[in-house]
Amino acid sequence: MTSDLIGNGQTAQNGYEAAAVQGAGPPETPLLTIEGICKSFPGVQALGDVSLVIAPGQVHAIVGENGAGKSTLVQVISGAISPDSGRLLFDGDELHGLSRQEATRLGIRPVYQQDVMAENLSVAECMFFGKQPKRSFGRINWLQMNQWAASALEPFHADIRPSAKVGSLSLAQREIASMASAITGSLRLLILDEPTSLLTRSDTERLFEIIRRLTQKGVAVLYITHRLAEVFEIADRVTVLKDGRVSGSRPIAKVSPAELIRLMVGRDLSFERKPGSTSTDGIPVLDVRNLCSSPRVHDVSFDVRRGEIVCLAGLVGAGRTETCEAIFGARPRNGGSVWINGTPSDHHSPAEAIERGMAMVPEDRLQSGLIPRMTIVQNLAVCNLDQLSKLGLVVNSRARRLAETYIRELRISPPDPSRRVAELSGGNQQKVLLAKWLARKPELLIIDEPTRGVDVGAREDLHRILRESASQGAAILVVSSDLPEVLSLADRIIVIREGRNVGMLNGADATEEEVICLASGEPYNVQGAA
Amino acid sequence: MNTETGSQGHTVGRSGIAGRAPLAERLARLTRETALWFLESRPRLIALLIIVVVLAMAALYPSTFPTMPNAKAVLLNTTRNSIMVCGMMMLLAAGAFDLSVGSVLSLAGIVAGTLSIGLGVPGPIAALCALATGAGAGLINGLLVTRLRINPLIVTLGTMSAFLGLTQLISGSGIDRLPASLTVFGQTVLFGFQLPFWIAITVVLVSWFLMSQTAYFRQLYFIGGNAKAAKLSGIRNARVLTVAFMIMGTLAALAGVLDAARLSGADSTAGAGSELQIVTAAVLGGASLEGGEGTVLGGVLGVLFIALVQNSLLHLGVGVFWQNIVTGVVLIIAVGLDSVTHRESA
Repeated sequence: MTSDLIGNGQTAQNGYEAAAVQGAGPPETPLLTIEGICKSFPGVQALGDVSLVIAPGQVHAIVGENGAGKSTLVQVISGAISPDSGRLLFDGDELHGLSRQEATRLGIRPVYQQDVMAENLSVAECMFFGKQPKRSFGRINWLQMNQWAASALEPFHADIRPSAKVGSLSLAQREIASMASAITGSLRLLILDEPTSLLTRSDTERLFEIIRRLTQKGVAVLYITHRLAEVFEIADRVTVLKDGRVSGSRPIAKVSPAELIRLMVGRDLSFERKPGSTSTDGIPVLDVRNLCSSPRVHDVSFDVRRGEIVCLAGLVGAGRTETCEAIFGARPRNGGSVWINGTPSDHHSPAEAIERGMAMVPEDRLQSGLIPRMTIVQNLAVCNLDQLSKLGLVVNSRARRLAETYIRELRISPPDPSRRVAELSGGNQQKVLLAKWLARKPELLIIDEPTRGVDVGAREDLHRILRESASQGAAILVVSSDLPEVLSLADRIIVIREGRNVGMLNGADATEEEVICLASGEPYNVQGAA
Repeated sequence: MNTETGSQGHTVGRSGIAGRAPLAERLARLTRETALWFLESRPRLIALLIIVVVLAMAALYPSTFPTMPNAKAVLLNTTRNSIMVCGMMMLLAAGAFDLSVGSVLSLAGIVAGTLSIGLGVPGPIAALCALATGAGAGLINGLLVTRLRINPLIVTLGTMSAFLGLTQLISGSGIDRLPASLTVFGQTVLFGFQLPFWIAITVVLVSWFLMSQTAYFRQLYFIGGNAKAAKLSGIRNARVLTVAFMIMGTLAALAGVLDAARLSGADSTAGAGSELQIVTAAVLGGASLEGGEGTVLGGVLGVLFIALVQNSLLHLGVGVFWQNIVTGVVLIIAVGLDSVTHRESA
C-alpha cells in the first residue's frame, strides 16, 4: 500500500498525488461530522456536547486554552478514547468504537504533541512502524525503508538522517519526523496537535506549504494550536473550545483576533510590548567567550547584565539549548570560557553552577525539569533543600510555606501545595518549574522555551514574572523559537546559527524578518547586527 | 452488607426521616474510608495484615503462639533482615538496588572470622575490618553503577557472584569456633534479648531518622523520582548514590558479623538468598523498583511480615516450602492491589 505511494524512489510529492486520488470526494459532503460528543473523566467533564463539521480540503483550526478539551477531542476523533455519547460520521458512515488501527485504515492520522517514539530505534523504523517494506521471508527491506523516510522528510528540509537513532534527535526534529510519517500513505484527515510549538519560523512555513498542497488534493486538516497568528495564516475555519464546549465557530474571514481571544478566555488580554530598560554599565553577570561544546556549539560569545533579558534566537539545531547546557555545566565544554561576575568560572556540574548563583529551566519540563509523581512542595524542595533545612534536617513547615508563597505569586492553580505535578496543566507545571528556581533568587536565570505548549493566559503570566525578576536585578537568558515572544521579551537578541553567534539585535527595534534572515543566513540589511 | 445499609440510609436520610439511618450511613462511609485508607498505602496494608495474622494465630494456638518465647523467636529472626532492609530502602528510593548483599554478608563474616582466628586480631578490630570490607564492596558497586553507568541489576549480579567466589577463596566452606572477643557481640544478652536485636533497633531508628528528616537523604527520593531533573537541580546524583551503596554494603557486613558472632561460626554461604528476601520485604513495605518511594519503617514491616509468615506456618505444621509460596503470593497481591488503586486515582 505504502510502497505505491512513495516507495518508487521519487520525492514525497508523489505521496500527495496518490493521497489525493483517494481523498478527492464531492466537496459538498462533509468528510467528518461530529455530533454532540460528551466525554467525562472522574471529576471532570472534558467535552460537553461538542459538534463540528470538517469539509474535505479544509483547514479547520481548533483553539482554546489548556484544559479546554482540545486534546480529548483529538483522541476521540483518532479512536484513542471512546466518547460517552454522541456520534462520529466519517464520509457519511457512522463510526462505532473506532480503534486506532481502524482510524489509520480510514486515513485519519493524528500527530500528537510530543509523540512517543522509541529512542533506540532509527527514525525510519519509527516512521514506518507496522508498515515496513518487506523482502522475501518477511525480512524488512531496510534500504527501501530508509529511502522512503528520506523522501518523506525531504519537503521539510530538515537535516534528519533516516538511519539516525530517535534518541539523538531534538524534540523539534522528532516532531518533524512524526509529521512526515503521518503524511505518507493514504491520507484523508490529518490531525495536528500544536505542530509548531517547537518549530522555527522557516520550518513552520514549510509545514504550511505542505498543508496547502495537501488541502488542494482534498485532504482535510484539523489544526490545534495556541497561536492565533497561525490560525489566520492557514485556517479556513476556526472553532473555539472553552471548558469542553464550543464557544464559537466561524469562517476565518468573519472573525478578528480580538474576538477569538474573547471566545477563548472570556476576557481581553493586552498584547502590547513592554520594553525593558537596557543597562550597559557594570560587569556582566554572565560573560561567555568563544564557547565551544561539540558537536553543536562552535564559537559563541555574548554577555548578560543585571536586570537584562537576553534572548538566544535561531533555528532548531542551531545549538541554542546546547549553549545553555554548556554554560550551566550540564554539558562538557571543550573550548572558550564562562565568566561569572567578572571572574572565569571552572564549574563542571549543575551543582557547581548553582553554587555560583545560576539557575536553568530546561526545555522539556516533564522529562528533565520536574518529578511528575511528586507534589508541588516536593518539586520546589528539589533544588532548595539547603534553604528548607536547619542543621541538615528538613523543616516541613518551611517547604510548605515556600510552596504557598509561590502558588500565590505565580497564580498556580489549583492552589493546593500537595497536588501532584502530573495532575496540573502544562502552564501550571511550567510555573512550578519556574518557581523552584525563583525561590533560589538566582543572579542568572537561564530559561529554555519558557512558554512552550502553554495557554495564552499562563503565557502572559510567565512573561510578567520574567520581566519582574529582571527588574528586581536578575540577569535572564531566554531561548525561544517563538519569535513574537522573543521580540516582546528581549532587551537584546543574540542570533545563533550553526553553533556561532551571527548577530546581535536590539530588542526594542528588531523585526521578525531581521531575526529570521540572520538565523537562516539569508541576506538582509543588517544594520542592527553587532 | 455494610454498603447496602449505607445506601438505604442515604435514601431515608434524603427523605427527611431522622433516626438511626444516618448513623448507618456514617458507619458505611467510615468502613469504606478505612478500607481505602489501608489500601492506599502498602505499609498500612502490611501492618493490617500483620495484625490480622497475629490475631488469627493467637485465636488458633492460644497456648503456643502468643507467648514471650515465640515473640522473641520471631523478633530475633528479623534482626539480620531488618538491618539490611534499611540500606535497601535507601537504594530503592533512588531507583537502584543491590543484589550482592547476601554475598557481602557472607564475606564480612568470613573476614571477621579469618582475622580473629587465623591472624589473632582482637575481636572488635576484626569486626571493624569486616565493616570496612562491606563499605568497600558498596563503594565498588556504587562506582560501577554511577561512573561506568552500568545498570545496578547487572553490576550487583556480577559482584554477587564475585564476592561469593572471594569468600570461598578465603575460607572454603566456613570457619568454626570464633573467639569470645568476637562472639561477645552476638551472644551478650541485654533486657532479655541478644545484642544483635538491640543493634538492629538502633540501625532502624537511625535510618528512619535519616531518611525521613535529613535533607541529604531526601535527595535519594528526588534521584529516584527523576534522575535527570535531580541532576539539573544541583543534586550530585553519582556521589549520593555511591554513599547509599556504601551504607548498604556496611549494613550487610554488620548483619554478617553479628550473625557469625551469634552462631560463633561463619559460613561462606550464610547470606545466600537473602538479597531476594530483602527486596521482597522492601517492596512489600512500600518501595517501588522505579524509585522515589518507600520508608524505612515500611521496609521493617515487610521484614516482620515475612518472619511472621514463617513462624505461623511452623505452628500450622505446614511444610517449610509453603513459606516461599505464601510470601510470593502476598507480594504479588500487595503490589497488584497498589497498582489497581493508583490507576483508579490517576
